[in-house]
Amino acid sequence: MKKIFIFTVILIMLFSWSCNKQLELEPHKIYYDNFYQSEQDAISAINATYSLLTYVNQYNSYLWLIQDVGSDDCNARESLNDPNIHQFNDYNLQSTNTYLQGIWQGSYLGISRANIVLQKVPDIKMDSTKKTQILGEARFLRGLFYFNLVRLFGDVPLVLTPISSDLTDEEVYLKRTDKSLVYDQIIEDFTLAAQGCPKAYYQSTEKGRATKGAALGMLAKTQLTLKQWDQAASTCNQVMDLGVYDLWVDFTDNFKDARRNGKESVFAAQFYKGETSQNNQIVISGLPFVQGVFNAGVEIMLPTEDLLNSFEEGDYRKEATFFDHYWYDTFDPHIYKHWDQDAYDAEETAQCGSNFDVMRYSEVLLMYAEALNEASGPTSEAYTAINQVRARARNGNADVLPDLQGLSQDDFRTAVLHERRMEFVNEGIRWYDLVRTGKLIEYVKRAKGDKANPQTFNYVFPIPQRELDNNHNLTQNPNYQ
Amino acid sequence: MVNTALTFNPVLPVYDADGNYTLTDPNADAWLDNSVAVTRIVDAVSNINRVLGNIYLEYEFIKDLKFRTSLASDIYHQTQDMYTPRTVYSGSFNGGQARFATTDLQTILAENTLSYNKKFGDIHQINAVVGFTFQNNKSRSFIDIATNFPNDVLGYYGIENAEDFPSIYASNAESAIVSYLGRVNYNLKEKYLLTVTGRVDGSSRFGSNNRYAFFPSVALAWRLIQEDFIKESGVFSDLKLRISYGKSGNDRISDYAYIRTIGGTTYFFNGGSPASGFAPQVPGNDNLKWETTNQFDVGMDMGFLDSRISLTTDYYYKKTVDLLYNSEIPYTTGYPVYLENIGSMKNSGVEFSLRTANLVNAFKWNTDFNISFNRNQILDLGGKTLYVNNDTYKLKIGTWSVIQEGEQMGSFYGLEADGIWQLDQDAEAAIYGNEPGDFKYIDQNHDGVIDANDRKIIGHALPKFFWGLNNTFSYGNLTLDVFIQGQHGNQILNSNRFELESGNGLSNASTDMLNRWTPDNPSNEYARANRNADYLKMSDRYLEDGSYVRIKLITLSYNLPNKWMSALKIDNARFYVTGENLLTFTKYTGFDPEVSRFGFDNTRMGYDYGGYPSAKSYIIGVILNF
Repeated sequence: MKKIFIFTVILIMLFSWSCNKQLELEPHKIYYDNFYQSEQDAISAINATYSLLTYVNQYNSYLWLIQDVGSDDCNARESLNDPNIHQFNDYNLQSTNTYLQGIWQGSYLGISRANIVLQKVPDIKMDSTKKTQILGEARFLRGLFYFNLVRLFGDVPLVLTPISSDLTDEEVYLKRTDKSLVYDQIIEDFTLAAQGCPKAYYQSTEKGRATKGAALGMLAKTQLTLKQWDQAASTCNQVMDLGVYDLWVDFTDNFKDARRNGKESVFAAQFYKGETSQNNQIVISGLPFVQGVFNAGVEIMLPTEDLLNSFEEGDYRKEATFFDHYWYDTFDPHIYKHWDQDAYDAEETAQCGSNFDVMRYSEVLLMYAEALNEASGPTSEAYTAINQVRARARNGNADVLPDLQGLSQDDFRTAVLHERRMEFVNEGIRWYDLVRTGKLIEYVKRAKGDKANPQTFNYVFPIPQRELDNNHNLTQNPNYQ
Repeated sequence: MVNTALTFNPVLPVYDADGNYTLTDPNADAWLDNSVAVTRIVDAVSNINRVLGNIYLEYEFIKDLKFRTSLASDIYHQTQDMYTPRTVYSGSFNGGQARFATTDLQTILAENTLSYNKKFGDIHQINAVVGFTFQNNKSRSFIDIATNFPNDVLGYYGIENAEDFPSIYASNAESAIVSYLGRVNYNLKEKYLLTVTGRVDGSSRFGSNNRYAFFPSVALAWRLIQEDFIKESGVFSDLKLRISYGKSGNDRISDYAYIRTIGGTTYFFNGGSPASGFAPQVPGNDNLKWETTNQFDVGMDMGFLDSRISLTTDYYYKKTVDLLYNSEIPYTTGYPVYLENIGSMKNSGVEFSLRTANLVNAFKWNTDFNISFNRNQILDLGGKTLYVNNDTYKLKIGTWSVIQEGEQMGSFYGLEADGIWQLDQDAEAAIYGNEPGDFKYIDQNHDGVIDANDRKIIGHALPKFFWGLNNTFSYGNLTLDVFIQGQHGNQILNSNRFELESGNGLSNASTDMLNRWTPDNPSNEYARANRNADYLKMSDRYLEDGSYVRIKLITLSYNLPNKWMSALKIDNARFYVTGENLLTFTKYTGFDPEVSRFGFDNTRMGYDYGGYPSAKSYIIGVILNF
């Protein structure tokens, strides 16, 4: 009897110990369902969206590299062992291109993070001004990612909410959305961002977040891309009326760490060289390789003769953009614009902490001039705006770059495009400009001769093969396979 | 390392004029390390401390009914210290780099069983067990990187002198398995044997709705040799028929994989104001559950001539359902992969194992031979095709393998090569944007473009069969063992050749490229030298027959006579000489046909990229038992 009693006790002990609790393990991690509760969580969620901007597949490299190599500005270095870059140079683009796949991946990762903010933050109990600001920032970033995607790929899937935990087919197998609807969403996002974001941040630790001016500036650029000239001009005017922005007297101040997020910067991807991972550092890809000096000069692209010869005599921006010697070493002209020599020694250039400006105030002025000219010919406001940019490029030398005057509408159009080219070499702008003005084929052939053979279908890039492989509802752009 | 050695500029000396290591090749843009320097001067030390413990208590309540409880633990601590000095390329631009890693693992296993064992006369015998087991695994790891050392003198011992600590990684994880099990063995007259088992397993790796699963099995054996009509026939010395069916489960996924976990990142506003960000890293999946395998097996054990010959044959059919797989999903979801239960797969095959004692006198010769034929097929993937990519390392060839309904695991996927464009084909070559001397591929859909739509399954990484043969010869105290193994019908992706045969002159090339296409040498195998060659196209050009026969092991050993040893109080002393991987017969041109870059990952089989080959080794040893 006693034995049976002991036996029963042991059995009860052992089965009660074994209850389900043993399998309920706390992950020592934060996860989707226990996060997004406080103001700090909301800030963390928006910060994670910003962090995409410094990814190598975004403003760290890919987004501007393909603009240089795919346009008339640069040639990929002949000896560069990277067929994926040469595809942009030679216009034999493949759907397997790793740069395009990277841009697509990074952009949609950024979009998914912005979508989380827009879904989760409205329900968080927190300071309402701060909440409005964070939602505005998320709108801005989502708009920016979509604006890049729609210009590079045309119709793209439009995702506006985060995926559910049991991932339905409707969430996976998305169709491409007509680009006019994507543009509608971008305009809505930038418009709401302009309402939510403050004019400026006064705390130095906050500088670099999206502002009202950044949202309006990007909105103007969207309208310009859509050839909505009146709206674009009026939006530019709003940016100018904010009274926040002005041009630096010295063009090179734009690329100095000491001047980062200064009066000319409308929006910039924030880089930083410190004790952190490489994502926060930017690679100055145009520098030459010189052993012992530029050990890490990757020299991916070199300016075309056409670009070098396009500068007017005495244009200060030419010497601020290119160099062909460094102390005793001489070489072919290379782009060194983004290298701040006050902050980084030559041997440090593999990893710099300089910001990358997505938009500078000089672009607002040039967009304003262009929009006015397209809407009603070269008005005096249009001349004032473009000549303000030219005046700064003289760098005090009154004998060069005379003010423009008395141009026909068509000549003014050409002059604006030229001015944008001189101003924004290596700033991730040129290929978009050639596409939206319809000059891609003519200008690329003019600069590169027979080697590059762009055609009309190249006005958008191929949808990445990985996405086509994993989503049977996705279609390829015409003439790409 | 092997890849670095293969692709490093062969003209560059290991040392430069000053006697320092040549760090890198100024003419190449892929930064290559000097493999001699890396091998000789990167200092890496690993230490492992491990404690294993086991206690148990056994108690017999009444006759034949026993209770047993046991507790086992395994505590493992590992440190890995490494220092990369500035004299190798990878350490040259950060002033020397040290890496410190600590890993702690702790496993506890508790088992409680109640067993009953009873024989009823000579006819029935019953053995029954019920029990409960519990296992918990904890792991913790910590990695710290330090850079910018004042000099290389102290190596990793100089950590407190390092200027920067650019990154720290830490991870904590825990998992648990709870099982309730029962088993009954029934033996009737030593002739019929029946085993029935059932277990319920619960795993912490699945969401709360799907943690538990039931896994039953049943096995029957008939010892025919006990039947008079077999005994009397005199043909067999042993004969047994076996048949079984059972279900088993697999929870081998990472801990917490079903949860949408959130990870940290930092963005620096305005030149260094850290703004910490948090975002999901994996999509999570509430519906994850056990992967289960249903296995049917029928087999026969036969013995002849007093068991000098014994033969075992088996046929099996395994169907695995709800496979746990990290499926690639479109980036539009915000995630690259999704861990899910998907589809089903079968494996069926036959196995033979033959054991013979060929000579049994003073000179003895025994032979063991086994051979397996397996057929694998994906039965269902819910209509999906899963693509296997390799974009993680510098060789970006994209999709190279595919998992598709009706096909095998390990199916290579790419273009079908068709030699080289020749001079008289220049017009046709131009349609594809090629020139004579370029690689030619088959345009599967005849659309005048070679692209992703021309890809197909071009080979298989799974062998048709594999075998092993061991012969043991002994005479007196001298024994010779020879083990040979082989496999046939599989292919290997020799991806080293992408670079070695690229013909772009930017990395070292294979000597085969001396035979490259030129107008005077219309090679149909190696393309022309071309600086801008698009050489990263996956095709069957790089697939090679991976069949091989290898003399894996030869051991000659000598046992010293016991009478000498007893005087020295040594029970047994054995001298031996072993040679491993002595000789291989294969058509594979890489270093080693027994290669797999991705280890035992059965979705990424047969990929060779800079694989470190199996070493040919000789061992001389002595074993003493006291």
